[in-house]
Amino acid sequence: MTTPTAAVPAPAADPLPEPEHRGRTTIADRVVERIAAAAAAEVDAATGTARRVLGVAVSSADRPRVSARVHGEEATVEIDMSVSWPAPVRQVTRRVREHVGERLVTLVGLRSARIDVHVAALVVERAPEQKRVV
Amino acid sequence: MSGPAALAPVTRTPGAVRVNRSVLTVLALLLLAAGAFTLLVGLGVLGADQADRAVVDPPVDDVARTGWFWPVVGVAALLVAALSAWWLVAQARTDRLARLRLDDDPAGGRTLLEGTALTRAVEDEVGDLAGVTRASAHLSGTSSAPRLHLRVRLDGRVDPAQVHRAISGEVLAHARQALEVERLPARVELDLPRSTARALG
Repeated sequence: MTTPTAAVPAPAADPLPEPEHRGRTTIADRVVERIAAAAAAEVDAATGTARRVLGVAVSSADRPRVSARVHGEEATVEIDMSVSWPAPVRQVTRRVREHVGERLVTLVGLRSARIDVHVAALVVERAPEQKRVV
Repeated sequence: MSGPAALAPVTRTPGAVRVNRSVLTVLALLLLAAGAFTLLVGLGVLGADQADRAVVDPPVDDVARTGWFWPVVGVAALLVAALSAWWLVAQARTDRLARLRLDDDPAGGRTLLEGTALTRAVEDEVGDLAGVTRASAHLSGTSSAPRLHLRVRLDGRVDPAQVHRAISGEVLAHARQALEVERLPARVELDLPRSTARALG
Protein backbone atom coordinates (compact mmCIF):
# COMPACT_ATOMS: atom_id res chain seq x y z
CA MET A 1 0.00 0.00 0.00
CA THR A 2 2.72 2.46 0.95
CA THR A 3 6.39 2.41 0.32
CA PRO A 4 8.66 1.96 3.33
CA THR A 5 10.06 5.20 4.63
CA ALA A 6 13.50 5.76 3.29
CA ALA A 7 14.76 7.29 6.55
CA VAL A 8 14.29 4.05 8.49
CA PRO A 9 17.18 1.68 7.91
CA ALA A 10 15.73 -1.69 7.01
CA PRO A 11 17.57 -4.55 8.71
CA ALA A 12 15.48 -7.23 6.99
CA ALA A 13 15.85 -7.96 3.32
CA ASP A 14 12.16 -7.49 2.75
CA PRO A 15 11.20 -4.56 4.99
CA LEU A 16 7.68 -4.51 6.39
CA PRO A 17 5.52 -1.44 6.18
CA GLU A 18 5.06 0.76 9.19
CA PRO A 19 3.20 -1.02 11.98
CA GLU A 20 0.09 1.11 11.58
CA HIS A 21 -0.22 0.00 7.98
CA ARG A 22 0.21 -3.70 8.57
CA GLY A 23 -3.22 -4.26 9.99
CA ARG A 24 -5.12 -3.76 13.14
CA THR A 25 -5.30 -6.03 16.16
CA THR A 26 -8.60 -5.99 17.91
CA ILE A 27 -9.29 -7.84 21.07
CA ALA A 28 -12.79 -9.15 21.46
CA ASP A 29 -14.61 -8.37 24.67
CA ARG A 30 -15.13 -12.07 25.08
CA VAL A 31 -11.38 -12.71 25.29
CA VAL A 32 -11.03 -10.24 28.12
CA GLU A 33 -14.06 -11.74 29.82
CA ARG A 34 -12.67 -15.27 29.68
CA ILE A 35 -9.23 -14.29 30.90
CA ALA A 36 -10.61 -12.08 33.66
CA ALA A 37 -12.95 -14.83 34.86
CA ALA A 38 -10.14 -17.36 34.97
CA ALA A 39 -7.82 -14.92 36.71
CA ALA A 40 -10.44 -13.96 39.28
CA ALA A 41 -11.11 -17.61 40.06
CA GLU A 42 -7.42 -18.11 40.84
CA VAL A 43 -7.61 -15.80 43.83
CA ASP A 44 -8.17 -17.52 47.15
CA ALA A 45 -11.62 -17.14 48.63
CA ALA A 46 -13.01 -15.80 45.35
CA THR A 47 -15.71 -17.90 43.75
CA GLY A 48 -18.57 -17.44 41.39
CA THR A 49 -22.25 -16.98 41.85
CA ALA A 50 -24.52 -19.47 40.21
CA ARG A 51 -26.97 -17.82 37.88
CA ARG A 52 -30.41 -18.46 39.24
CA VAL A 53 -33.75 -18.55 37.53
CA LEU A 54 -36.65 -18.71 39.99
CA GLY A 55 -34.27 -19.91 42.66
CA VAL A 56 -32.89 -22.79 40.64
CA ALA A 57 -29.21 -22.68 39.82
CA VAL A 58 -28.80 -22.89 36.05
CA SER A 59 -25.07 -22.31 35.79
CA SER A 60 -22.10 -23.58 37.71
CA ALA A 61 -20.79 -21.45 40.54
CA ASP A 62 -17.09 -22.13 40.23
CA ARG A 63 -16.17 -19.02 38.27
CA PRO A 64 -16.98 -15.36 38.69
CA ARG A 65 -19.11 -13.92 35.90
CA VAL A 66 -17.44 -11.19 33.93
CA SER A 67 -18.61 -8.70 31.38
CA ALA A 68 -16.03 -6.56 29.68
CA ARG A 69 -15.74 -3.83 27.11
CA VAL A 70 -12.53 -3.10 25.32
CA HIS A 71 -11.80 0.41 24.08
CA GLY A 72 -8.49 0.34 22.25
CA GLU A 73 -5.85 -0.46 24.83
CA GLU A 74 -8.12 0.02 27.79
CA ALA A 75 -10.94 -2.03 29.15
CA THR A 76 -13.75 -1.76 31.63
CA VAL A 77 -14.40 -5.00 33.37
CA GLU A 78 -17.29 -5.88 35.64
CA ILE A 79 -16.85 -8.90 37.83
CA ASP A 80 -19.82 -10.53 39.54
CA MET A 81 -18.51 -12.82 42.18
CA SER A 82 -18.87 -14.39 45.58
CA VAL A 83 -16.45 -14.40 48.46
CA SER A 84 -16.02 -17.25 50.90
CA TRP A 85 -17.51 -16.54 54.29
CA PRO A 86 -15.97 -15.16 56.48
CA ALA A 87 -12.98 -14.01 54.42
CA PRO A 88 -12.37 -10.24 54.46
CA VAL A 89 -14.33 -9.04 51.43
CA ARG A 90 -12.33 -5.89 50.74
CA GLN A 91 -8.99 -7.69 50.80
CA VAL A 92 -10.25 -10.48 48.55
CA THR A 93 -11.75 -8.08 46.03
CA ARG A 94 -8.59 -5.98 46.01
CA ARG A 95 -6.55 -9.07 45.29
CA VAL A 96 -8.97 -9.99 42.52
CA ARG A 97 -8.66 -6.52 41.03
CA GLU A 98 -4.87 -6.62 41.17
CA HIS A 99 -4.61 -10.11 39.78
CA VAL A 100 -7.11 -9.61 36.98
CA GLY A 101 -5.51 -6.30 36.06
CA GLU A 102 -2.07 -7.85 35.95
CA ARG A 103 -3.27 -10.78 33.83
CA LEU A 104 -5.00 -8.50 31.38
CA VAL A 105 -1.89 -6.38 31.05
CA THR A 106 0.47 -9.31 30.56
CA LEU A 107 -1.72 -11.70 28.55
CA VAL A 108 -3.81 -9.34 26.50
CA GLY A 109 -1.44 -6.40 26.40
CA LEU A 110 -3.94 -3.86 27.61
CA ARG A 111 -2.52 -0.65 28.98
CA SER A 112 -4.99 -0.43 31.84
CA ALA A 113 -8.28 -1.80 32.97
CA ARG A 114 -10.94 -0.43 35.20
CA ILE A 115 -12.29 -3.29 37.23
CA ASP A 116 -15.57 -3.00 39.09
CA VAL A 117 -16.32 -5.78 41.49
CA HIS A 118 -19.79 -6.69 42.62
CA VAL A 119 -20.08 -9.16 45.44
CA ALA A 120 -23.51 -10.75 45.40
CA ALA A 121 -23.01 -13.51 47.95
CA LEU A 122 -20.80 -14.63 50.77
CA VAL A 123 -20.77 -18.37 50.55
CA VAL A 124 -19.67 -21.04 52.95
CA GLU A 125 -17.02 -23.14 51.29
CA ARG A 126 -18.63 -26.49 50.56
CA ALA A 127 -15.53 -28.35 49.51
CA PRO A 128 -15.00 -30.95 52.22
CA GLU A 129 -11.48 -31.83 51.14
CA GLN A 130 -10.45 -28.26 51.83
CA LYS A 131 -12.19 -27.92 55.13
CA ARG A 132 -11.44 -31.25 56.75
CA VAL A 133 -7.68 -31.10 56.28
CA VAL A 134 -6.15 -31.02 59.75
CA MET B 1 -36.60 1.55 79.28
CA SER B 2 -36.82 -2.18 78.69
CA GLY B 3 -39.15 -4.70 77.15
CA PRO B 4 -41.02 -4.33 73.86
CA ALA B 5 -41.44 -0.56 74.35
CA ALA B 6 -37.69 -0.11 74.08
CA LEU B 7 -37.74 -1.93 70.73
CA ALA B 8 -40.44 0.24 69.21
CA PRO B 9 -38.32 3.05 67.64
CA VAL B 10 -36.74 0.63 65.21
CA THR B 11 -40.04 0.16 63.38
CA ARG B 12 -39.65 3.69 61.99
CA THR B 13 -36.50 5.51 61.07
CA PRO B 14 -35.51 8.44 63.31
CA GLY B 15 -36.17 10.79 60.38
CA ALA B 16 -39.71 9.51 59.87
CA VAL B 17 -40.42 9.76 63.60
CA ARG B 18 -39.23 13.39 63.61
CA VAL B 19 -41.34 14.23 60.54
CA ASN B 20 -44.42 12.64 62.09
CA ARG B 21 -43.96 14.53 65.32
CA SER B 22 -43.54 17.91 63.67
CA VAL B 23 -46.39 17.42 61.16
CA LEU B 24 -48.77 16.25 63.88
CA THR B 25 -47.75 19.15 66.13
CA VAL B 26 -48.39 21.70 63.38
CA LEU B 27 -51.74 20.09 62.50
CA ALA B 28 -52.74 20.00 66.16
CA LEU B 29 -51.89 23.67 66.66
CA LEU B 30 -53.82 24.67 63.51
CA LEU B 31 -56.91 22.67 64.48
CA LEU B 32 -56.74 23.88 68.07
CA ALA B 33 -56.52 27.50 66.89
CA ALA B 34 -59.45 27.01 64.48
CA GLY B 35 -61.52 25.33 67.18
CA ALA B 36 -60.76 27.99 69.76
CA PHE B 37 -61.60 30.77 67.27
CA THR B 38 -64.93 29.14 66.35
CA LEU B 39 -65.78 28.64 70.00
CA LEU B 40 -64.98 32.26 70.81
CA VAL B 41 -67.13 33.51 67.91
CA GLY B 42 -69.97 31.16 68.86
CA LEU B 43 -69.94 32.24 72.51
CA GLY B 44 -70.23 35.85 71.45
CA VAL B 45 -66.89 36.90 72.90
CA LEU B 46 -66.09 38.77 69.67
CA GLY B 47 -69.43 40.52 69.69
CA ALA B 48 -73.05 39.27 69.78
CA ASP B 49 -73.68 40.14 66.12
CA GLN B 50 -70.73 37.95 65.02
CA ALA B 51 -72.18 34.97 66.93
CA ASP B 52 -75.53 35.30 65.16
CA ARG B 53 -74.08 35.49 61.63
CA ALA B 54 -74.77 32.65 59.22
CA VAL B 55 -71.71 30.66 58.13
CA VAL B 56 -72.12 31.78 54.52
CA ASP B 57 -73.84 35.13 54.58
CA PRO B 58 -73.84 37.76 51.79
CA PRO B 59 -70.41 39.32 52.67
CA VAL B 60 -68.76 35.86 52.57
CA ASP B 61 -70.63 35.00 49.39
CA ASP B 62 -69.28 38.18 47.78
CA VAL B 63 -65.72 37.16 48.54
CA ALA B 64 -66.36 33.72 46.96
CA ARG B 65 -67.62 35.42 43.83
CA THR B 66 -64.49 37.47 43.23
CA GLY B 67 -62.28 36.30 40.37
CA TRP B 68 -59.26 35.26 42.42
CA PHE B 69 -61.08 33.19 45.07
CA TRP B 70 -61.32 29.79 43.36
CA PRO B 71 -57.76 29.86 41.90
CA VAL B 72 -56.47 30.54 45.42
CA VAL B 73 -58.53 27.63 46.77
CA GLY B 74 -57.16 25.43 43.99
CA VAL B 75 -53.54 26.34 44.74
CA ALA B 76 -54.09 25.79 48.45
CA ALA B 77 -55.61 22.37 47.76
CA LEU B 78 -52.65 21.46 45.54
CA LEU B 79 -50.29 22.54 48.30
CA VAL B 80 -52.12 20.39 50.84
CA ALA B 81 -52.05 17.44 48.41
CA ALA B 82 -48.31 17.85 47.82
CA LEU B 83 -47.57 18.06 51.54
CA SER B 84 -49.71 14.98 52.16
CA ALA B 85 -47.90 13.05 49.44
CA TRP B 86 -44.55 14.06 50.93
CA TRP B 87 -45.74 12.91 54.35
CA LEU B 88 -46.86 9.59 52.90
CA VAL B 89 -43.48 9.06 51.20
CA ALA B 90 -41.71 9.92 54.47
CA GLN B 91 -43.42 6.92 56.10
CA ALA B 92 -41.92 4.53 53.59
CA ARG B 93 -38.40 5.83 54.07
CA THR B 94 -36.12 3.26 55.64
CA ASP B 95 -32.53 3.44 56.71
CA ARG B 96 -31.87 -0.03 55.37
CA LEU B 97 -28.57 -0.44 53.64
CA ALA B 98 -29.02 -2.26 50.34
CA ARG B 99 -25.36 -2.37 49.37
CA LEU B 100 -22.04 -1.43 50.87
CA ARG B 101 -19.46 0.52 48.93
CA LEU B 102 -16.16 -1.03 49.93
CA ASP B 103 -13.82 0.60 47.45
CA ASP B 104 -14.40 3.52 45.17
CA ASP B 105 -11.44 4.48 43.08
CA PRO B 106 -12.39 6.28 39.87
CA ALA B 107 -9.37 4.90 38.03
CA GLY B 108 -9.09 1.39 39.43
CA GLY B 109 -12.75 0.55 39.84
CA ARG B 110 -15.15 0.16 42.65
CA THR B 111 -16.31 -2.66 44.86
CA LEU B 112 -19.89 -3.14 45.91
CA LEU B 113 -21.08 -5.70 48.40
CA GLU B 114 -24.75 -6.57 48.34
CA GLY B 115 -26.28 -6.18 51.77
CA THR B 116 -28.19 -9.41 51.25
CA ALA B 117 -24.88 -11.23 50.69
CA LEU B 118 -23.82 -10.42 54.23
CA THR B 119 -27.22 -10.82 55.85
CA ARG B 120 -27.80 -14.18 54.15
CA ALA B 121 -24.44 -15.46 55.36
CA VAL B 122 -25.25 -14.28 58.89
CA GLU B 123 -28.74 -15.78 58.70
CA ASP B 124 -27.37 -19.11 57.52
CA GLU B 125 -24.76 -19.25 60.25
CA VAL B 126 -27.20 -18.28 62.99
CA GLY B 127 -29.78 -20.68 61.56
CA ASP B 128 -27.31 -23.53 61.93
CA LEU B 129 -26.86 -22.89 65.65
CA ALA B 130 -28.51 -25.36 68.00
CA GLY B 131 -31.84 -24.12 69.28
CA VAL B 132 -32.53 -21.68 66.43
CA THR B 133 -35.49 -22.23 64.12
CA ARG B 134 -35.22 -19.12 61.97
CA ALA B 135 -33.05 -16.05 61.70
CA SER B 136 -33.51 -12.89 59.69
CA ALA B 137 -31.11 -10.00 59.40
CA HIS B 138 -30.84 -6.63 57.76
CA LEU B 139 -28.31 -3.82 57.65
CA SER B 140 -28.71 -0.16 58.32
CA GLY B 141 -26.39 2.82 58.68
CA THR B 142 -23.73 3.67 56.15
CA SER B 143 -21.09 1.74 54.22
CA SER B 144 -18.36 2.88 56.59
CA ALA B 145 -20.44 2.40 59.73
CA PRO B 146 -22.95 -0.36 59.10
CA ARG B 147 -25.27 -1.69 61.77
CA LEU B 148 -26.69 -5.17 61.89
CA HIS B 149 -30.19 -6.06 62.99
CA LEU B 150 -30.80 -9.67 63.74
CA ARG B 151 -34.01 -11.38 64.70
CA VAL B 152 -33.71 -14.94 65.89
CA ARG B 153 -36.55 -17.33 66.58
CA LEU B 154 -35.61 -19.93 69.15
CA ASP B 155 -37.14 -23.36 69.56
CA GLY B 156 -37.00 -23.11 73.34
CA ARG B 157 -34.91 -26.22 73.83
CA VAL B 158 -31.61 -24.39 74.24
CA ASP B 159 -30.73 -21.75 76.81
CA PRO B 160 -31.16 -18.34 75.10
CA ALA B 161 -28.00 -17.12 76.84
CA GLN B 162 -26.04 -19.85 75.09
CA VAL B 163 -27.49 -18.86 71.71
CA HIS B 164 -26.69 -15.24 72.44
CA ARG B 165 -23.10 -16.13 73.34
CA ALA B 166 -22.71 -18.09 70.11
CA ILE B 167 -24.10 -15.20 68.08
CA SER B 168 -22.00 -12.48 69.66
CA GLY B 169 -18.92 -14.63 69.96
CA GLU B 170 -18.76 -16.38 66.58
CA VAL B 171 -21.25 -15.01 64.08
CA LEU B 172 -20.71 -11.33 64.78
CA ALA B 173 -16.95 -11.91 64.86
CA HIS B 174 -17.23 -13.45 61.40
CA ALA B 175 -19.30 -10.53 60.18
CA ARG B 176 -16.72 -8.06 61.51
CA GLN B 177 -13.98 -10.05 59.86
CA ALA B 178 -15.78 -10.14 56.52
CA LEU B 179 -16.48 -6.41 56.60
CA GLU B 180 -13.09 -5.57 58.12
CA VAL B 181 -14.61 -3.30 60.70
CA GLU B 182 -13.53 -2.95 64.31
CA ARG B 183 -17.04 -2.41 65.50
CA LEU B 184 -20.29 -3.71 64.11
CA PRO B 185 -23.09 -2.49 66.35
CA ALA B 186 -25.67 -5.22 66.33
CA ARG B 187 -29.16 -5.46 67.66
CA VAL B 188 -30.20 -8.99 68.39
CA GLU B 189 -33.78 -9.92 69.16
CA LEU B 190 -34.36 -13.39 70.49
CA ASP B 191 -37.92 -14.65 70.11
CA LEU B 192 -38.91 -17.52 72.34
CA PRO B 193 -41.91 -19.69 71.54
CA ARG B 194 -44.86 -18.58 73.65
CA SER B 195 -45.14 -21.64 75.87
CA THR B 196 -41.47 -21.71 76.77
CA ALA B 197 -41.33 -17.98 77.32
CA ARG B 198 -43.90 -18.42 80.05
CA ALA B 199 -42.15 -21.43 81.52
CA LEU B 200 -38.86 -19.58 81.76
CA GLY B 201 -40.65 -16.67 83.39
